[in-house]
This record gives sequence, C-alpha cells and structure tokens, in this order.
Amino acid sequence: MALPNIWRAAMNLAAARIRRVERRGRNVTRLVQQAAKKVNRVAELAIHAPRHVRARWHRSQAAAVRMRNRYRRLDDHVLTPFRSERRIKRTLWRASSGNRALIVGPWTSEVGYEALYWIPFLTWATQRYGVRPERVIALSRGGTRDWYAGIAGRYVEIFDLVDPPAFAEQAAARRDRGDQKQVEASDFDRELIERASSHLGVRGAAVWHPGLMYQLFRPFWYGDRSLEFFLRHTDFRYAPLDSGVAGVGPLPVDYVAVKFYTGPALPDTPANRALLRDLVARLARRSAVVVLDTAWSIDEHRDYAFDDIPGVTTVRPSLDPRTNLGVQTRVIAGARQFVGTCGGLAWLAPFLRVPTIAIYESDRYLTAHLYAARHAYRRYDAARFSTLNITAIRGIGAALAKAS
Amino acid sequence: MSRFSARWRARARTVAGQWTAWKGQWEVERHLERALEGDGPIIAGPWCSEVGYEVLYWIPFLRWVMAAYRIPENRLIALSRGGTASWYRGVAGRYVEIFDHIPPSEYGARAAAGHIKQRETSAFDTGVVRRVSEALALPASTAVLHPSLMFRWFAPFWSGHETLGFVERHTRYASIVSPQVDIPIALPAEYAAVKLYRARSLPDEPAVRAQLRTLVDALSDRMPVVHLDTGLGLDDHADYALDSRGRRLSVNGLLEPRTNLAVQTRIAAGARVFVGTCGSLAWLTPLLGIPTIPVFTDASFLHAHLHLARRVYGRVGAAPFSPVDLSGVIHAGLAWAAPHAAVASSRES
Repeated sequence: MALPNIWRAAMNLAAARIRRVERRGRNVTRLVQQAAKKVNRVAELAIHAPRHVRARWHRSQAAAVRMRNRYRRLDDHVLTPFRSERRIKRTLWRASSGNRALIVGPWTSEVGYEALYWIPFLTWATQRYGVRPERVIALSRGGTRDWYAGIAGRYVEIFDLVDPPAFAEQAAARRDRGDQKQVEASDFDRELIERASSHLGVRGAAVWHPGLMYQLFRPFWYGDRSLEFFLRHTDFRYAPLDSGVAGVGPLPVDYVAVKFYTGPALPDTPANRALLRDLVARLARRSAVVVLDTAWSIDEHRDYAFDDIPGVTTVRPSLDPRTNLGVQTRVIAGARQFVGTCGGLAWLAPFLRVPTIAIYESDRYLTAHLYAARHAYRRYDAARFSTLNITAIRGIGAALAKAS
Repeated sequence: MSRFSARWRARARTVAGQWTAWKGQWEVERHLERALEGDGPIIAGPWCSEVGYEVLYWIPFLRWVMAAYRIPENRLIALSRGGTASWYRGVAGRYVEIFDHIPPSEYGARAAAGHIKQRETSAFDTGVVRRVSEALALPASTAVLHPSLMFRWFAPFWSGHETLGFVERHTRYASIVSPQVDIPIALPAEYAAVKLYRARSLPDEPAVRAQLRTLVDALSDRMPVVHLDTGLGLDDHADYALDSRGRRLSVNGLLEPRTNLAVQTRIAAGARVFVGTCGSLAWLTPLLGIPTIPVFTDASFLHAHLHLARRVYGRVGAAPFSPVDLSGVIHAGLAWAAPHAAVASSRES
C-alpha cells in the first residue's frame, strides 16, 4: 500500500482554497463593480434628472400643443365650417324639396358679387339639389334675366315692384347699418319676396336668400376656407347670350366697351380721372369706344363719363334702371374687348367670351376676388382677363401711350 | 340614385383628400419636433431653391418655427447662398455661405439639371450639409431643418387645397434690413433698380420684350436705372438684356456668387423704386421698404403667391406692392412711354 503524498494533498487543498478565495474575490469584485455601476447610474440620473425632466416636459408639452393645434385645425377647418355648411345645405335642401316654386333672391347688393359668386353658386345648387328651372323664380334688378338663363324659368324685376329711388333709399339704409352685403334677410328683402309672390300669383314659395351664399363663402374671403372649397360649391357655366342688343341705338361694328365707376378699387380723384380719361382717349383713337355709363346711381358707385371724347359713344340715353344691366351685358357681349373698373361687370365679361382688362388703384378689397376669379376663368376656359394697376403706372412715372 | 351615389363619392373624395393633407402635415410636424429636440445646433437649409420661395415662405416659416417652439436664435445656423445673411437676421444666430464650401459650378450644374425646388432631400443637399458640418466641426447631434419640410407643409396651399389662414398661422413676416456689403459700381443719389428675367410668368416673346424695353426707357427718362442682371447663371432664369436709351448702370460681370444677392439687396434697398419680374427679389423689396412694381404677363403660377403677398405685406407695413399685368397693356394695344407729365413718385404716393 502506497503512502499518501501528504505534501501534494496539502498543496491541492491549498490550491482549491485559493481558487475558492479567488472566486469569492471575483464575485465580490463583480458585486462591488455592479454596485458601483448602479451608484454611477443613479448618480448620473440624479445629475441629469433636471435635463431629462425638462426634455420629457418639453416633449409632453409639444405633444399637448400638437394635439391642441390639431384640434383647433379640426375645429377651424372641419367642425365649424362643417356645421355652417350643413346648416346652409340643409336650408337649401329643405327649400328645394317638393314642387313648390323657389324664389332665388332678392338680389339687391353689388353686381360683382352677383356675377362672380351668386349666379355660379345658384348654378351649382340647382344641379346639386335637382331643382328644375321651371320651379325657379329669379328676383333681381336691372334686367339681369339673361344671367339666370338655365337656372330660373321666370324672372321678376325688382324695379317693377319698387321705384328706383325707394330701392336706393333702402340700399343706403342697409349701408348705414353696416350690412351692405345681404348676409341676413332684411325686412326689405322679405317685402320684395312678398311683392314678387303676389305679382306672380305664387303662394307659399320657398326661398334661397343670397345670405346663404354670403355665409358659405365668407370664410373663403377671409382666408379660412380653401380655393378648392370655393370651386367645389360653384359652377361658372354661363348660358350663352342671344345676339343683338334691343333698345340701344346703332352700335359700331367693332368697338371696345368701357365702364369705369368709382369705388374703393378706383377712387374718384383728379389724378385717376385724368389717367382714365387719357386711357379712353387713346383707346378711342384706335377703335370705336362704347361707354356704359348710366345717368343715375342706386348704390355708392358713380360712373365716370367720357362721352365728350371724340370717337366715344355712350349708351346712357338708352338705359333705364329696369333694363340697364341687361343692356350693358349685351353691349359687352358684342364688344371685342371690355375695359373697366376691376369689379362689377368686369368679373362677368370673360365668361361672355370677351377679353377683359380690369383696372384698379387699390387691391385691398380685391385680393380674394382676384384669386377666385383667375382660377375660375382658367378652369372654365373663359376669355383672357388682365389687370392694370394704376398705382404702378404712377409709380413708374410713365404714361400710357399709343403703341408705335 | 346615381346623383345620390355621385354625391357620396364626391364626399368620400373630399374626405380622402383632406385626410391625405392632414397626414402629410402631421408627418412634417413630427419631423420638425424631432429636429428641434435637444439643445444642439440646428442647420436650417441648405437653401438652394428660388429667392422668391426663400423670402415669401422659408424665412417666415423659420421665424414661426423659432417662435412656436421657443428655439433660441443661437441654435439656428442658416445655410444659404449668395450672402443672404441679412435676410436671416433675427431668425438665425449664424449664417453659413454655401459658396464657401461648394464651388459655384457644382451649384450651377444642379440648377441647370432642373433640380430647383427642394421637395426632397437630395444627395447634393446631404453633401452640402456634410461638408459644412465637417468644416465647422459641428457636433454629431446637429439637427437639420431641411427646406423640403416647408415645401411639403405649404404644398396644399399652392394647389388650392389649404387655406390662406393656414399659411398665415405658420409664418411670421417682418421687415428685412439692408446688408453692409461693398457695391462694385458707383450708385447715383437717386435711381430705379430693375431686375427683369425670363420666367413662365414673363416669357421671352417679342411683344413682351418690346413692352419691357419701353418700360425701362420710360423709367430711365425719369431717373438712372440700375440693372441687377448678374450674368452668373446660377439658376434657370436668364436675365433680359435690354438696351435702354437713358442712363443705364449694370452689375453684370461685377458680382461674385458668394455675395451676389447681398449686393443686389443693398442696391435694391437704396432704390427709389424696384421694377422686376414678379418673383425673386420682387417679393423681397417691399420688406426692404422699397415700392415695388412686379411685372408679369401670365399669372397662372402666381395666384397663390400674389394672394398671400397682398395680404401679408399690408399687415407688416411693407412698402407698396403694385403688380402689373403686362398683358393688360399689350392687349389694350398700349405701351409705356416716356412721361413728361408731373406724376407723384411712388414714395410720395
């Protein structure tokens, strides 16, 4: 029997003990390191806590702002307009249902809004709600029957119901109330509707008041509705006019129709008067000019008169309040060009296929209308529409002269 | 029945269109927030598109971003070209000139290839940012506010699907000061600045050219005219070469790419009136306080910009901005001619 190697056994035991100690040491070191890491991490967190809290706060604040902005946008662009749009469309739908006669109007405000917004709005609405022209009675002034062709089967002339002076008085009163636009139906409007109904022997007629259009498009004019919204609620297909102008003396074969009136876009100042006079004189040297001035005024606009310029013809003697706008429309439709104040009939002329030059001094109240009109002309393939800003002419210090 | 279904289809299209627009806007918002997180520097740019978009949309948009997200000015580094530092005053704490890092020929080649609008971040843009970051030793955490964010943000407005109010809510307009830069010519005490270049809104046609010539003649009969034709060919618009009979000064051939817009701005800022193609500097000069007469014959691509400009210039007290539709003059068979009548100057008016 071999003797155990005591020395070796002792060495083995010692080595095992050392290894155990080493292992424990490593474990302890690891634990210490882990603890140190934890302490470091906690310290780091503590040091950077304000920054982290700030960042988190900023993120949550940004999220809150984002949500608030989104809600505002939703409210601005969807909910509020949707509510208003729904109310207007419900009114349109209610009035269109059944087989009752439908009065559209009375239109007593500016020509420009009628041509650029009201008629295209009615064209869209009658198509959208399937209202046949036989049911529709247009109630307007100045003989604008042609404008409503394809929309209304019947037309009632407001000046057959009230005298022009009484109408002008009511228009002035409306302006004084700060309600020149027919955003709401006034007592005068209701009276006109009653008179029109009894004039035609119609009872219980439904009404589409211009206020519906004004309420629908007002956000667009203020920049709160998009162009696409406006174009979605309008249809600019004007019915073509029959040829010929009844009730006006012989007109030149080839002429330029001119209509300048005073207003915020072209104020009545000596400088403007001189410049327009010069322009008309130069136009008259190139071709015959027919001026569409009237002898009266039923609103705040006054026509510029140029009939003392050689080569200029005026239709003033042929115009009376009952038919003046209808006659002017036909004169424009027969012209090779229309030149006039930016507003009123200038918006209509391109749809009559007449190249138009609209002149203004201030575009302060024109921006939304120019934006809408230019897009509508392009979309509906209307005649050329150009503008001439006389502030610029004056700014350059140049005068307009005949082309060489 | 078909009318009913058509109506619902139309509604569905409207809602879908609106939803797409919103999704695009939310995505831009997310990008913005991500870029603005932290305290590191933010590069706004590189702006390599047209001057008009920079002045009318990009800088006002940046001004809004700074205000809405409460970003201190010193975090923003404007990265643009042509020495437009003064345009960014009050917006960015620092301005970096692209032409200090990119040769003008490389920049011009990009423009010649038709890559003008920065609707996406191009390899060129990424390269510019990288080179600038390296040169300035900017930290890796530097964020980039790329112009494509603005282009995507306002695209629905340009197409008519978003409101003017939306643009107004996301921009801040302010006057711009003239830069302090040396001018390579001796300027008269009183002059008109003219910058007429070919564009879709003012195409190079004989009638247009004739009108422009008489217009410049009419101006030069009244006061010296300084033409801001650069001859540098850095974008896709060539300047009209108009020989006028009056006193004519030009900076053609005297400008360096890295300061050309600064010099033009300085000259325009000292003018009595600025007349130019509707675009580019014509959007800037009202904000410099100079009465401006932008000229165009075709407004098809200008409707939205004109609509916005008319609204905001009035609000910030900018100088008169009186666009001239030259087609009106042409189609009336009229022409500009030398004036002898006493007419009030624009400034007086």
